[in-house]
Amino acid sequence: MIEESTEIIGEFKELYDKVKLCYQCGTCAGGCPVFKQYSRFNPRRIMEKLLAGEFTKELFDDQQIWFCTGCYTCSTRCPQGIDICHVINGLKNMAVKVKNTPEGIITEMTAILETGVTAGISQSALKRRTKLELPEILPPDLNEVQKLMEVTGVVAKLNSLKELAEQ
Amino acid sequence: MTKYAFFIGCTIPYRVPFIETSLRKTMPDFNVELVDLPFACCPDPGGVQAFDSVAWHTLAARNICLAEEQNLDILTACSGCFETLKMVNTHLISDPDLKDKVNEHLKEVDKEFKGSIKVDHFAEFMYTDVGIDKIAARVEKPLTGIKIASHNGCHFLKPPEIMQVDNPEVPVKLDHLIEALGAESVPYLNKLACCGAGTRTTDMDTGLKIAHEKIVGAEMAQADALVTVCPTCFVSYDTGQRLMAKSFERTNLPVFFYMELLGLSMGYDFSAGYKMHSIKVQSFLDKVS
Repeated sequence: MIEESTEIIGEFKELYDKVKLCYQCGTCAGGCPVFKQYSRFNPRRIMEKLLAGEFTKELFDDQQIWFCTGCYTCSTRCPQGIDICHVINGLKNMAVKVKNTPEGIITEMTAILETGVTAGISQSALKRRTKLELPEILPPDLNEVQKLMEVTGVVAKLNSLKELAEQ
Repeated sequence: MTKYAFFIGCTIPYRVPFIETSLRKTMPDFNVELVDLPFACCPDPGGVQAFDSVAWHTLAARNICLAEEQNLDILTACSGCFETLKMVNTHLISDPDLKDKVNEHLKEVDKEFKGSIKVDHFAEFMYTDVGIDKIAARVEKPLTGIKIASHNGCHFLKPPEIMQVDNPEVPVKLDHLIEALGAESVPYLNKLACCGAGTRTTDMDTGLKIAHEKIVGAEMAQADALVTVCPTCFVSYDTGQRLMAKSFERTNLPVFFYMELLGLSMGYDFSAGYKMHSIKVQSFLDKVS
């Protein structure tokens, strides 16, 4: 069992409620663009683990769940109507809480916190915009974005992930 | 002219600004006035939603509030932004508890989500609000004899109960939009496949393998170009082909955003933008003229 807060276990139970109709037909894996190229990411196996109550660290190991590309093909095709993509997203939210977050996601969240957007405003981008005679981009209200990232707990999570990376 | 809040997103203005050119030039011809507002990142339906679902809903709701304050519907050309904004808008309208939770956070920045506006994507707008006949009527240089592999991408269509754009297993609207320009939209292997962008953050190789399969399918069907309605898919295939060349045999399939192709057929000169594509498009342009 994950040695984390009861909050996490509670979230697992919520996810279990969402997957309990699964009868392991494998349609999700059959249509998954990631599974086709990288068989270690198998959405059917993820559902199986949830069904069996295997709320273990293994579920997050090797960053398996982070391979999900979020295309919703599994959710669209599941004969039991399970939104598998949404379930995996729930697992990702929990993985962040147990500090398993890919570097790329941390970089993206940091960029939004610092600039309000994901793609940094580089000199080359500005040069291209000038060449194309495009108008200036209206800057977002960064104070508001930062405030919301603070009150929703994103800043605290980011800080603890960064502390972990420095150790 | 009908006014729309132009949700430009992050990828278009900073990575592929020539897509922005194609939108700003062509949309007024269809009686659309694009109103720029100081939007922040939508935010990303992949990374940010995965990091914290409530934060994702809250940050998206803040953007929607900016359009609500102007009483304008949102029009976006990015399928990622489309999915985030339409999904959050739908969730908050249908789930009062979630709406309360999000509004509690928004109070901190003096905002309140009301649920008073709609979110639309350019391609869906062109098909449903403008219509195929009106588009075809604007074509001055028909793309006769040109074969196009259409790429819908994922977020434009799915989840279908939220996006409500087209049949996710047998989409036809983009094909009709392409054929309105006089080109042929060819069937090809892996037409519905994802571009792999969501996986590139975790594993570049797997992401590129997913994208490569589609390029192979389009080439087998002898497509002259691949056409997308999503800037992230555009990057996956345009810049992506350069990266794929490290692991696979080099391919040179030109990639276009739909509005670029529309502008071309309407007689617009987008040559400054074409030069910014990673895969050269000159051979394609020669075939057209």
